[in-house]
Amino acid sequence: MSKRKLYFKRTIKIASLILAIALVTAFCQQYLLCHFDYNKLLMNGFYLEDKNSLDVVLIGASETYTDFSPDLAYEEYGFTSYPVATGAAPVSLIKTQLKEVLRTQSPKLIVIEINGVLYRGKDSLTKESNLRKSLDNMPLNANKIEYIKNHVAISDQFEYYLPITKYHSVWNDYPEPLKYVKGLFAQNFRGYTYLKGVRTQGNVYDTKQVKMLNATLPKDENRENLEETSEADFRDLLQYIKDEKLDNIIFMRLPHIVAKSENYGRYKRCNTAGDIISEYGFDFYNFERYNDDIGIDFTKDYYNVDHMNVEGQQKMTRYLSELFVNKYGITPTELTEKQKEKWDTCADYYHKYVEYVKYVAKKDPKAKEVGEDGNTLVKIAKLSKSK
Amino acid sequence: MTYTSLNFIIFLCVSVLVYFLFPLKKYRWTVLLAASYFFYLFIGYKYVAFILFTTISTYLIARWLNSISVKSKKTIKAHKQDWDKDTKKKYKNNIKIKKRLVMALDLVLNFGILAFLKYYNFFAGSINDLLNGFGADVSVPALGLVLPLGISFYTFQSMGYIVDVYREKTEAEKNPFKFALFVSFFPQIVQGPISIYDQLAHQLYEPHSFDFTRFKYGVELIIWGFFKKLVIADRAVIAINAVTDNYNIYSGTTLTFTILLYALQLYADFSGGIDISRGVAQIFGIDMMENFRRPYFSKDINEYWRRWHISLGGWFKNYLFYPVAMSELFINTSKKMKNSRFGKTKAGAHIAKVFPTSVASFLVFFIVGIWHGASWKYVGFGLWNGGIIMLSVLMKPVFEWTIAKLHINAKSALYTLFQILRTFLVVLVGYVFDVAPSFMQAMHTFKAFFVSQSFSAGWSEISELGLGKKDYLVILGGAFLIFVISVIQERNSKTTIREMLDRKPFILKWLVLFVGIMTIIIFGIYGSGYNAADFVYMQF
Repeated sequence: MSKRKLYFKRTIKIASLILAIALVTAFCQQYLLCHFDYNKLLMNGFYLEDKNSLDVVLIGASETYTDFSPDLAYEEYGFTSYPVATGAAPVSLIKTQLKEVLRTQSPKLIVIEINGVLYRGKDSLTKESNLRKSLDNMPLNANKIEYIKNHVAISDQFEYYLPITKYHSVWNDYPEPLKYVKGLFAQNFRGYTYLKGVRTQGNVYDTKQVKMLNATLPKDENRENLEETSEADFRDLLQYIKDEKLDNIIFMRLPHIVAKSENYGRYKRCNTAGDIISEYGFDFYNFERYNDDIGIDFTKDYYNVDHMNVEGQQKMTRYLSELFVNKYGITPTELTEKQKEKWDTCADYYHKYVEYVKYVAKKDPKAKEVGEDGNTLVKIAKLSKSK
Repeated sequence: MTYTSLNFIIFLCVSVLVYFLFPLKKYRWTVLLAASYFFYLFIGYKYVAFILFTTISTYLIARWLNSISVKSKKTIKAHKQDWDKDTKKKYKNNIKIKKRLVMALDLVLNFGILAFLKYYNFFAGSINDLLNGFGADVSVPALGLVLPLGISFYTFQSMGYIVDVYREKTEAEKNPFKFALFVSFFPQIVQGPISIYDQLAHQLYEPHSFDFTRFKYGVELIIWGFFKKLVIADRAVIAINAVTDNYNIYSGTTLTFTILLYALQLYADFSGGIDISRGVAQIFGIDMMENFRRPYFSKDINEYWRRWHISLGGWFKNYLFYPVAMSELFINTSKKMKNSRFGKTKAGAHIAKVFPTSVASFLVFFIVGIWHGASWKYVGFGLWNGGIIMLSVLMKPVFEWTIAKLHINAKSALYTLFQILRTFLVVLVGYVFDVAPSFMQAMHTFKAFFVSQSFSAGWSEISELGLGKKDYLVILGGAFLIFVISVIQERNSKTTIREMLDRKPFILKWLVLFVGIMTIIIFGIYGSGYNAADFVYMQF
């Protein structure tokens, strides 16, 4: 064999080995050895949506996916939507989430829920898990790299670029993550997610546990400073939106059960955040003050102080949908037959989901939130079959 | 930048590329020198003065020794006709003393630094304990001393060189930069092996060309080293640390388990690290000596020390054991014993014969013990090993007599297995000193072996040591793989596993490599670590 041929053969062999390792590692990183929770399913579902097929996108933290159902909004108002929201996402992430939305969709309206602006304490702003719930589930692109470069310590950055270096020990947690693996594969195989990231439950929070202040909130003008870094990140976001001339963005604060606790602090900081938003000339809806308009019954519509149960979710969805349609003129994009079929399936599925969530709550008063993982899919299917 | 870090892998790739692409082939060794100093500065720039001092002092003193030898030879040659035998002998003796003093200067300087940094606080603490015991109200202050990276290894290697130059076994290196490379060569600086100048130096300075087979074998050895270190050792150490952090609360069963686990962890960690070092050197075309040869298959403790940390054992054999055993004092004492009434008996004759080697062995292993660390527990470790070796030499006729009386076939497989297990047990006893946080706690462990064995307590304790069942399964699987590989190596001393693998079909070869790398990626202990509990939703 000539030298040249030998070198060529060796290069091919080495390259094929490296490629095989890279492919298997990437597969493991994406589907088997990662942090599994509903945030992964939600984000994966968002990226499965057809390009430029969403009319409304909601960005925020957990209340965004517990308090609003895209399936219900579609069924009753005809527009398509999706919450790009992960648990405890701090304000620093919103800009990146927004850029990701703009990269993949061209929504008529983008609604930013400001819970992430209101966190207090360095921990909640920079806590690795809060960042990773969102970042790990984004594809590696310029937006993700920009965030990592600006917000993650240099020594930790590599583990964000190649998350398997962080999560390789997840094999130890199996079979627990299997329900998410099943859910993930089911989503990918189907090509879309049924529930669009929605995750709530049917139980009711016992409001007797707290001394609620919600009745006085409409007139409560108390203010509290935002965390310094939060304010800086928030102003950076607002300036970015202004500079990019994004005139289809509004801000909101979803309603919570507010008692003399951290939530009241957030309420006061929310008033401050409202002032800042006004400075930049954007619309802001502080729904903490609209309880009566929305028709919220705090004794029935929440499963904990921050999150609405399935009853509250339906009320909030209808209220927000009315606002989007009437105030912002959201009209449904013309969907293809295939897309329409998908959304119709989702709307049907949402009913089954609601039924299942209520059924679970009836059986177990301490039941936890229900999302679209593999096990739940099977249980919902069984329940609807039995009826 | 540890050998198992990503930084090291990147550093290695860059070094390999620069080395083989360096246009002045004759000067490729300068790339290794630059890489070695970059590596040293990257991980311990504060201590670079220490390695520089050892390099410069040893280089200069070796040159001095060399010039004394050359000059003396010239003088003897010049006076060949006019000097009588006595004058020549007297001159030679004077030169020998002079050389010895010059060599001693280097030994004292460099071992002095090592001893001061490593043992000052130990001695200060021991003196204080002693004085306080007598009620004295004085104390020797403790100093905040930190050991520079690799100081034991490069000091021993350099001192071996100076002794070889003194003995005229080696010519002193003329180029200070080449000598600096010998002292600082990055694959061996952290944990050895302690190389001999004649074996290593010429390989470092030779202009090597890229050789694919060497490259492949080097990479395979590195992967095997990574597997042993990251998959087995770094996993096992989690449980071991959990025990040593709260040593007194555990049952004898858990302590027994810990010592066994430590035997595996230490071997996997140390031999794995050496495999990485040797693999890296091999890529550059340099063969470093083997430092471990299946030590747990040893049939006696002497053999064990010839298979475990071979380069350290070799160093002590060359530079301490022989000089002591062959010294006039020991030889004369042996002769005196032989000629005494006691020496006329059968036992006396044997003891007189083996006296120099047994006492020298005891001394060597006592020092090996202390070399491991500055603590009374290491003194215990040294005494145990030295004592056992001395006893095994002295009692050899008794053992042989017993075997003969019991009609045991010393070559049978069963007896070989018995010897291996017996040796392993002796080694495990030594490890107790290593694992226990102090000498007194080592004593507590020996007691616990006998008085607090409880299978049920041990079982529940072992499951709480930071490792899950699956982790223990991985360790067990890894240990089994090491065992199988070791058996194959033991049976085929002429061929390496890598050579055997090379003869297999392409697909099988690459599959083994692929599985090896994926195993390290998935099962290795590295990175900041992941704990699902950190992700539990605590704040909305």
